[in-house]
Amino acid sequence: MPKQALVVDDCAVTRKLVALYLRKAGFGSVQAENGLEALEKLAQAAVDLVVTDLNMPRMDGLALTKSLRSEPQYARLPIVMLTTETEETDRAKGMEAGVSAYLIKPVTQERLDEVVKTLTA
Amino acid sequence: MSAPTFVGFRNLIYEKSGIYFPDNKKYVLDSRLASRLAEHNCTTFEEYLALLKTDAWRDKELPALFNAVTTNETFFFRDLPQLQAFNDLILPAMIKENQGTKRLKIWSAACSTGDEPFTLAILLLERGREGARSSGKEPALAGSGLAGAMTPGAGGCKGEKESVLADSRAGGCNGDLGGWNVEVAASDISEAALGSARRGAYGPYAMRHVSPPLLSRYFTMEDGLHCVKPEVKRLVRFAHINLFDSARVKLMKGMDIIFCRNCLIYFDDKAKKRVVDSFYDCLNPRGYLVIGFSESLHNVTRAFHPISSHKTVVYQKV
Amino acid sequence: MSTSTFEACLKRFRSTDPSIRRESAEALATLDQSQAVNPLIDGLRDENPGVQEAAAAALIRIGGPRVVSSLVPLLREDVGTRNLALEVLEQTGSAGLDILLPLLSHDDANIRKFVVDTLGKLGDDRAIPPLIATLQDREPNVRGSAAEGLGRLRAREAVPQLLGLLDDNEWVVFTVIEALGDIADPAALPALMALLKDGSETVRYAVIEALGKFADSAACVKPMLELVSSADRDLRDLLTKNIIALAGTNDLDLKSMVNPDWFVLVLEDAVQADQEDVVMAGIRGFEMIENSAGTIAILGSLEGVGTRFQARADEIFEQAGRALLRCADGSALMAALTSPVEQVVSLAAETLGKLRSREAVQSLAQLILRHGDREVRRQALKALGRIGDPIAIRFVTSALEDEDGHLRAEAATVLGKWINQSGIEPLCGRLIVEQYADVRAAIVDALCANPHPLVSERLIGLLDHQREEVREAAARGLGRLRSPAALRPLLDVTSDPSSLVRAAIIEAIGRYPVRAAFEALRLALTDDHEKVRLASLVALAVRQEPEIEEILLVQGLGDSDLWVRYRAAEALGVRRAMAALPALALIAKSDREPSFLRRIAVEALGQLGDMRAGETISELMWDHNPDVSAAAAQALDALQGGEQGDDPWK
Repeated sequence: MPKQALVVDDCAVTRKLVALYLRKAGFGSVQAENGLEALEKLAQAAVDLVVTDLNMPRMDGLALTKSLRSEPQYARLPIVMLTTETEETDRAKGMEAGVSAYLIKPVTQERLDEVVKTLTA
Repeated sequence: MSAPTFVGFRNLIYEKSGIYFPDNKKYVLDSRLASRLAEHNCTTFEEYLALLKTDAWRDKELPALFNAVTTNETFFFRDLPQLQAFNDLILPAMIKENQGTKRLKIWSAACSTGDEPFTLAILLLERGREGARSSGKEPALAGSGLAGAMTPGAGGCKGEKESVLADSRAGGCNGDLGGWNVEVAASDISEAALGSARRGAYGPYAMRHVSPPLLSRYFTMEDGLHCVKPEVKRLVRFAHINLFDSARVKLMKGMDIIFCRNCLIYFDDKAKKRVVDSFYDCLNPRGYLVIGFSESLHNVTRAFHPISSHKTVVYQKV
Repeated sequence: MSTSTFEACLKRFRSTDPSIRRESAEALATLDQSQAVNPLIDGLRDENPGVQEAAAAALIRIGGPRVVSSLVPLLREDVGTRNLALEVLEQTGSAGLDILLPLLSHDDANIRKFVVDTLGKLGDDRAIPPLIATLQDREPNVRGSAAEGLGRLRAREAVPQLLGLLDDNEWVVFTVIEALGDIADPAALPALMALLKDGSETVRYAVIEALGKFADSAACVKPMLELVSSADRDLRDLLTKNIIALAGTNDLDLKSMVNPDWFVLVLEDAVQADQEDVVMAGIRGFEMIENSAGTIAILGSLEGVGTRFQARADEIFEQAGRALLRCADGSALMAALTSPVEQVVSLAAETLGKLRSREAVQSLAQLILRHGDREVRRQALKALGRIGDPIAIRFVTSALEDEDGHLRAEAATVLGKWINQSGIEPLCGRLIVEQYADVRAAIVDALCANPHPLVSERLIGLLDHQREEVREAAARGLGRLRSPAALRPLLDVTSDPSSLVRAAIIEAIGRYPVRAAFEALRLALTDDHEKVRLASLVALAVRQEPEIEEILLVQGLGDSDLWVRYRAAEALGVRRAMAALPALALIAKSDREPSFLRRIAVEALGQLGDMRAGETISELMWDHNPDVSAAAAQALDALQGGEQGDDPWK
């Protein structure tokens, strides 16, 4: 069964690019445009990895992470935050909420591959 | 119909009901309005449009128009996973929440010919039954083995799929709704559909997912049609409500659960937001909203939290 | 507005109850816009999302530069607040461009990006020049956002600068290519073509997608076709999808541009792909090249579609239907009639019908006799109806005796389109013994669809059949046909023992505009049974005889049955019968009458179009009953609005 990723970002172009990079790393992907849609998609299909933006309308990446970590079934799900936000406080809050890795955009395909492979080994 | 005529119809329908017909649904109007034209002896769509504009009968004709363009195929126990979520997740939560008042108000907000509210009423009655046998606390809705066995169903039609309800015994909490004051309010924009719903008589197609035990427990046969028994009808009351009429919708206060399935798909984002905002105001805190399984609120509001159950999503007022 | 009212509202906005806070948000905005801004901005930080949303909506309604400047500081608060502020900015930013533009040179790259994002989404062309300038920002994310915004704004003037960024960081290049696709200016084509050959894999993907949006497709399609043979599976899927998209939007004659043998193989692969978009493209491709090999390929693909692509299965089947018509391979379609997947069988049957395939008649008839699924049998019936040759029609006729009522009704409907002398007997024969009301109705519809004189004759004959359902159906049919010969026989049976039949007869008689009919209707208003009286009233309501108004008023409104009174009130309103005002007012005001009756009385009062009714209606706006008060409000609007009512034809 090939691995599946959930790519969450309000920008369609970014989602496409991340999905392409993930495909090279061996992941199929499902897309969502904010945290709410991400939760909806998770209801229907299991995923092995979540790659999410931080700033999104209606439900941001931090709230999504908190929501996921509050459910036992998602306690160990790898969550990669991929954002343009460079503030230290955002990173700290993210790690505190349970994010598995915090990357700043733009990220190379090799770097993403490296992180993702480590987390889903 | 021509493009300008289509725009004319689209605007009128949107104006009066919030229902929006995008360009690729023009064929729906082309095919569904034919019967209205025949009824009024109009030979062209333009004539019918003119009739709607000038004739004193416009307000009488509009409901018939809505009825013609929104006819949706509906049947009992539709979209089973959502009903399972209702039974296994929502009801227990609401029962806990309303322990003090022992009241439950449910609103079926696009009830069409009544299949949905009556389905809900039946599920509620099943839960409330006392003295029902229960082996190992089997849920009233069997979760597995749905994609069923092919056995002859009711109504004399070959090859009907077996109803997805197992032999229904009351839910895991034996009769946990016994003694409660439960109301199902049901509304629709179509007077004709409401008329049908009030009569409560259904052909075999609508019943094809209802298991034989439930059929005999809650329906009688008259004239080849399945008629809902009085104790089910007693739980449901019908009213005419246009969801786009926010003032009217706001009168529906104190709801614990709202169902609005296969209705929001007709609306554009703006209209959807308006309707969902009104629903928020009608719901009690921590109340639930169930929309069509292929629909989503993620681009409409942040005030509802999606909760997953049985591979489907229901929304809770935050 | 008085400050104390505003302050009271402000207090409610600080209530501990979130639903009160939410209500007051809206009220604050209506009371005093300028004072409301600060509290509402605070409201964006509320812990309750319902309150947050109401505050956001209120701010959007207020709009203006003050709102915009108040939102800017929130862009560096915590994540939730930041993003809510952005949502509001996207709707209000246009009024505050002077405040936003200077921020494009802010030190904080995050602020710059937020502003660029907002500018791109305002839909305001004034943003174009500043966005173009921002393409030179030192931060790649900001550059990328600027490109995206320019793409959304379809800014042609940005194309030269965008082309200049094609050797930037891959992330940026990807966004730029997408933007060039959105703008679709042919000037970008040479650069994009070059990237198609030399770019990295990721870049080539972006280019192919972008090319799918250009109008000058002939130039794009050929190079893409050339790439197909050497491409791997994924790339081939992408290419196929975009080639078909281009051919579609530009009405290209793809058939003449490709070698059919080779392209058929490509399409066969496409219809087996994992992504539904590619499958759709493959199907569409077959539709375009009209190659009969398509039938087998498409049918094969459809077998799995139901399980693989639940959400879009219907769309795919619809597209397949169109393609199968073009590919027109009768024997492959007939073979598909034995598929285990019901939807496929139905589609094959439907297509054979549309192709008027005589060879298929026997197989279709077998489906009706043997298949288990009702939908399939119904499609087969319809198909036979389309083919319409005598053998087909014979099968349809025998389906009138099928044991499934739905099939009988469908058979009747199909026969309605082919009605000729020989069809009438079987239909009448079935009518006489039919148990189900809806099937009888379909039979009557079919008989009346083509008014052969024999139909009238037969129906008149059935007016004294022993079964009341048959007499009723006959009466309904005669009413539809309105043949002169039927009036006398109808008038003769107005005293039928069954109320059901009498009602149908009255309804039928109502359609004759002659005096004799009127007299019969008037008499029927004294019938014992309310259904008959109702039928009579409904028929009278649309007639022209001078006595009608009085009849509606006296006998109609005075009837013992609720529904008769209802329809009478309704009709009096439509006819603007001023004489009915007192009686209607009485009903509207009486709280012993049921709501729906009172409501129609109120509506009718509104339609009388006379201000004398206005007094009563205004009183009723305060009635306890919400249905009544709502109706009164609407009626008053209608009365006062008159000619200035909402014009839906703007």
